[in-house]
Amino acid sequence: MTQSRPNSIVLESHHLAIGYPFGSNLPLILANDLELNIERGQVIGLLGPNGSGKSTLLRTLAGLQPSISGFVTVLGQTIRSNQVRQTARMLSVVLTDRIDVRNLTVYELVSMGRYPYTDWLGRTGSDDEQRIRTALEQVRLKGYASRMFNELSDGEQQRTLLAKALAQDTPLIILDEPTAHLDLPNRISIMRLLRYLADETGKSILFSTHDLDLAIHTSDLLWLLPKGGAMLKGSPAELMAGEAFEETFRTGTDAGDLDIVSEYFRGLKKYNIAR
Amino acid sequence: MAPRKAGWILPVLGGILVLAFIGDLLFGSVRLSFREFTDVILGKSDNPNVEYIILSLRLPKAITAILAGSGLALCGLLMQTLFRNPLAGPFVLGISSGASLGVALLVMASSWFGGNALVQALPYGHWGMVIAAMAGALAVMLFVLLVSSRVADSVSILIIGMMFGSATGAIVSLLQYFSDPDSVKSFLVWTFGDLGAVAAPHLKLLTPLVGAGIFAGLILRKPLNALLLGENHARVVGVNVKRSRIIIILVTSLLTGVITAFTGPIAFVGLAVPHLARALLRTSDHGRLTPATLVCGAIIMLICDILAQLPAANQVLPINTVTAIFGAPVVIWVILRNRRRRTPLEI
Repeated sequence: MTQSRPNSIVLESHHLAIGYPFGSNLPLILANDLELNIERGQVIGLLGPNGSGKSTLLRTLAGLQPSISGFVTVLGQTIRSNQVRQTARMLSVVLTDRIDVRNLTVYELVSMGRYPYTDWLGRTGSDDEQRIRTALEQVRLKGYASRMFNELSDGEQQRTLLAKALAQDTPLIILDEPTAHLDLPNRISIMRLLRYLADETGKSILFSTHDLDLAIHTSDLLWLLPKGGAMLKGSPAELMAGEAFEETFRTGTDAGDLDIVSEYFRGLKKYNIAR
Repeated sequence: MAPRKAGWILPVLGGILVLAFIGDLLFGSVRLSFREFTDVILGKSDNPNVEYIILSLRLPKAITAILAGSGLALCGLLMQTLFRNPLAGPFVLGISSGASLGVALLVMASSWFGGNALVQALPYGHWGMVIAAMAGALAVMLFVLLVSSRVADSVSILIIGMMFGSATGAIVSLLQYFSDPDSVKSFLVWTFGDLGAVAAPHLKLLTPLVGAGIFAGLILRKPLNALLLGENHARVVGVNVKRSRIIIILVTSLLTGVITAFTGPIAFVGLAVPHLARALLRTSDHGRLTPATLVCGAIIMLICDILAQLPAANQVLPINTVTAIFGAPVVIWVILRNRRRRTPLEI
């Protein structure tokens, strides 16, 4: 599935505008003219204040909602929001939507990652079963196959969903706030796991988060999305050298809190550049 | 799927189904010996009365019980999974209210619209009821399908279905208010449900339609499993949620509409049986849950039919009351038993 060519482009967007159409009224546009690309094996963190459109961007890239204009390609193929099966073979998504299901085992849930490849009854062959077992090993959930999903801890549930995405065998995995609801050890564990998977398997990983510190440590590139949609892209080091973080989060900050936010970023940079 | 629990539950359920089927043929207002029963089954009977009772009265009724029980239970499972709501049942889409309206129009309004060609053209008697109920169910079904192809989320469909059911119910109440007592009574008798009203010629239509619905329900297991996680999760593993939703609604409407048209509304089985099947199998995988729900639905309906004729030798209780009186304690017991295991009522 993934190509061995180094630095090959996995995802590209051209003139992408994201937002919500309002029937005959003017659409609500959150960001315009986005020219994005993700290379093989890259880990990219998407950061920005609440309401800037991080989830909308991820959903649009994943074909879960249509773009206002422009288009997205994965390995040269255009993502269309009405072709869910083809899309599911090109990219997998870990959503924040809470899964509230009882009596479903970890194995049964991870096996749904094979749905884009199985027949209409969802039957899995030995190749599918091998991939499911490998995915469980990669997220260090070996031995959890027959555990009930709803009886796992939040961290284990998140790793199960990541295993489902791995079983889907796609060159790109998109994660919407994978560290939300998790405690610090689990946040670190998930982020290290993402880094490890990108390095070991060559998969590209795009995630959104509010854990700036962890994102800086984990990512090859950061996409900073302020309100208004003027995205800033660069390596963590480049972005920390300028005022990119301050500019991005100023858009979501009350005037009275600006001093505190600036001070926070001064501390963040001092600590991270020192390392 | 990974093997998890012993596969003995389904065969055991199958055995209970056979016993319940034989029991339903054996017990009735006329007491028959087991010998007389086996003679008829083996074709050795020399008593035409016994033969008539078993083959022409009880056999169609028992087959109807199996079709109605398994069909309604399947509808309940489909609705509970689609709406991810443990309280959903076959009647949430308002299909049975549509059937009621059809019958109410035939039974009650026909007395005012003496010259109404449509009502006059219908054969009175059971076929007339069936046609009226099917027309009502079909009208609501078309409406629900129209809505579900336009509305983006399932919860809106659920609410609209229930609103439509309420509005239809109100029209039926109005019809009752303005009708003469005899018409009201014959409508009320229809609402009690009657498995015995379905005779062999009816079965020729009921069996293939319910069979088709059950077949469709069995092969929907992949989208149903994916929908357990929620619609967005289903989409990201490549399931066409909108198309699956329309097929699920179509199958449910067909089954509910046809069964209600022939037997009258039979409450409770559709809501209760999927919970029973989940509690027995401890799984949400539709590959095993759907067959278990079908078999449990048939068993429960057969047992309810047997119970309906036991209390008084010559009197048969309305099936719709028996399912609720018998079913409510069963569901309460299942919930309490599960609570002890720290597992709440689940879908």
